[in-house]
Amino acid sequence: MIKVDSLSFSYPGEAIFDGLTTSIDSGEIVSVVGPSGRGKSTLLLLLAGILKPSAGNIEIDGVTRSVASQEIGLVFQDVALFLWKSVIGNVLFGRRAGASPATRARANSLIASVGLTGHEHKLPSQLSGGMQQRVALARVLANDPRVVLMDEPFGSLDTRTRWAMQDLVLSLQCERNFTIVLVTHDIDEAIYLSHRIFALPKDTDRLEEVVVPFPKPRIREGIMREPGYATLRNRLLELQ
Amino acid sequence: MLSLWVIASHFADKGRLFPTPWEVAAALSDMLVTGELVRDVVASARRALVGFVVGGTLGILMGYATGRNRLLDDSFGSLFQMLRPLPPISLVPLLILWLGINEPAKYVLVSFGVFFPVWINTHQGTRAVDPRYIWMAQSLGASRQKLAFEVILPAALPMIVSGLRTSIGVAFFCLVAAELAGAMDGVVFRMNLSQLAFRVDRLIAGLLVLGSISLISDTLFVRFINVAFPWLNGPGNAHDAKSA
Amino acid sequence: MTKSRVIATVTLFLLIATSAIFLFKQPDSSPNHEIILAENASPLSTLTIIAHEKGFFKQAGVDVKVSRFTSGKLALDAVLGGAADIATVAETPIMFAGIAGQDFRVIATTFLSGNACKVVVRSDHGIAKPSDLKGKKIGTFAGTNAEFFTKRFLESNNLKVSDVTIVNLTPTDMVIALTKGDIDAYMVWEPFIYNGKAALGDRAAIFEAPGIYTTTFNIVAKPDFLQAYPKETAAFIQALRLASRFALEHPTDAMATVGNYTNIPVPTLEAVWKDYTFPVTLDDNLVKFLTEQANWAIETDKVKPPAPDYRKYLDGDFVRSARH
Repeated sequence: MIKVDSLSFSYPGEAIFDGLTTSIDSGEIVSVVGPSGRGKSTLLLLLAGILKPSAGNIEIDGVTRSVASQEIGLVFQDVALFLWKSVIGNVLFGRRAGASPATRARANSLIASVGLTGHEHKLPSQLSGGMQQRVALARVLANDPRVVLMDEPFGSLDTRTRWAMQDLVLSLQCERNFTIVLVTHDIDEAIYLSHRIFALPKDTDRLEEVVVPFPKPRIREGIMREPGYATLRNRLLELQ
Repeated sequence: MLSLWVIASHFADKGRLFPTPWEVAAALSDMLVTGELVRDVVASARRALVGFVVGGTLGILMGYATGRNRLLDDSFGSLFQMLRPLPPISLVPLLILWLGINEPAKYVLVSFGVFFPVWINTHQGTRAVDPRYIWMAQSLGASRQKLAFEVILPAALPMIVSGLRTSIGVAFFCLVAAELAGAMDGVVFRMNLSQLAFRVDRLIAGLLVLGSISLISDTLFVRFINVAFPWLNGPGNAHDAKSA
Repeated sequence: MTKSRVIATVTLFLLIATSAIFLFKQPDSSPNHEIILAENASPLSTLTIIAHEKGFFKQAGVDVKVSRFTSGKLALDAVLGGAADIATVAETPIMFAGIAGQDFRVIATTFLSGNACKVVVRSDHGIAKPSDLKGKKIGTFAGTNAEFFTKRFLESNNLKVSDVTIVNLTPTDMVIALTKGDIDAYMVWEPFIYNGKAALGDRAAIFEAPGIYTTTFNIVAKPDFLQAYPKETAAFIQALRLASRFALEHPTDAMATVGNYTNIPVPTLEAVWKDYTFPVTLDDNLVKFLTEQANWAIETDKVKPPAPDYRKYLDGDFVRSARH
């Protein structure tokens, strides 16, 4: 349902993509890995419609996106929430029609689904990093997006919190079946979460697609013991 | 500092041009008792406040406009930069010509002075807003209005507040020009008269009063900001509040 | 703050404070002391202007360095503060300085006029005669002799200051305000009266009241200066006498010189010159004027009583000893 066709994009003096073609199915989770500066975040911005390709086309559900829209949710790493709004203020931000009781109830249930009941009126400065990212997720999901684009959302969290967030994302995705394109530096995270991994190796403008062979639902410690995990991991490392 | 003042005024051989602290205190209490001080403070504070509100509001609106819109920035930005260093006192004859000698001309003068620090801080704060906030807001379906009032202006608020705070002092500074012509009351007006009559004690008393109102205004402003925008002091702000 | 920092800061403050005290200039005792003249660049300083522009100071054997000021009050400030030796100033700042207990001497009066201040009115605002000023807005320059003249003028026309609305303005702003119609009249010294009438033509009229108030311009110095440099001061006064004769005998040249120096057009000066006299004198009339104004300043709460005995501020020695 995301179709990328002959996508080309360059920053002044630096070509990032040249004739990239790929597609992502509805409900699929795809991770994008690669060395820094290689264009991972750029790809997300192109998918979101914030950057325009110099050539080629991006279609989501058959429609060419030219501007950021509500069908696509964005989650960034360190700039997550609006610091001046409370938790519920952030979650309600996307709702056009004020805060009717029905909307509020929905927001509260979203806040509950990310495990933050009781924190509705707190400011982001009063929350931990992990809690802030949960609110970011709830906010993005408040609009029922078809696609969620995430740019290293868990990069600044400690290991345990990161794992908890990964499981939360998986359970929400399972519930609502949205497509995820996730940029990450963490190979293990990519393998754990994704159906496929797009690697952007340095020194080329190609995209290497790697299928993750482990069936879902996955158990973190379990898949690490699978034969093929190490091979897959090494392959991805080589592609960095 | 007080003891140095006392020592200096005792040894100064300038006749009565260097009054002692108690002479100034006596002048101050005299002005208070006659009711003159209260009238003057009210008049000056009114002019400073109106100018602050008008100039500050216009500064924020224009700063947002030029910060967000390249065309507006090109048209108005350089014009404002040219006008910015003009001392308010140089505008007095022009304002008298256009607006006359009554209070509106004074309000305009103070607004003129207040406008520029607020404009440039809002402009820079708006431009410095992390684009990711804007992308997120757009992806969440924010209208232009919502984007302006619920994302960009709050994100730029640390710098806007900094500009407003600077302009409090500027507002009082502009009173020097504003109370030069067509005024019959006001702290600066009274200081001018005291200067003409060689009443240096009253002149210094006026200076102290002016400084005090400015300080009180600043303190009240900071309190107000803390209450209205509690999130400004929390950790993890988007930017540091650096003034232009 | 560490202890050493505190000590250093306090020491620095003490040094600044003590050096500020010693910044007051002591007169130097070198021969041929150059006199620093703080001069208000206006027609009222005609004698000093002619003296330096026509070389009369040199002729009298005294070196004078001229420092221009936009008002007599500021010139007087310079002398009282030690930045200048001699000032040209009207009697009102002298009156205030006396009440404030300043130490100075008036050594000569070099300008007298009973008609230096006038009134210009908007005749199209229903003002045909002075009594029509009742209830109108009148601009004047608060704290100066213009304000004193205003009171005198109103009283001489059976009006009280409370019968009108006084608006405080600088002379240049008065002209603009009257042109705009924001005030109905203003009262101040020339050339601003002339300028106002010129700007408004038929819509304005001038009211004069010769004799109700005498404007003076005077030469002022500090007593220690006079004590240290009596020869130079005498020569200064002598030069002013020469200038006074010149002004009498060559009025056209005098006006041209003054007009050139002050950037006031000669026709403007010609219109007012007949009311001006340029003596070099000092007498009890000045004491009378100063005392009258002091009483006015006390009545209007500008200063606290008592008014001093202004006679002690007059030093007529130099005027008496200078030869004709």
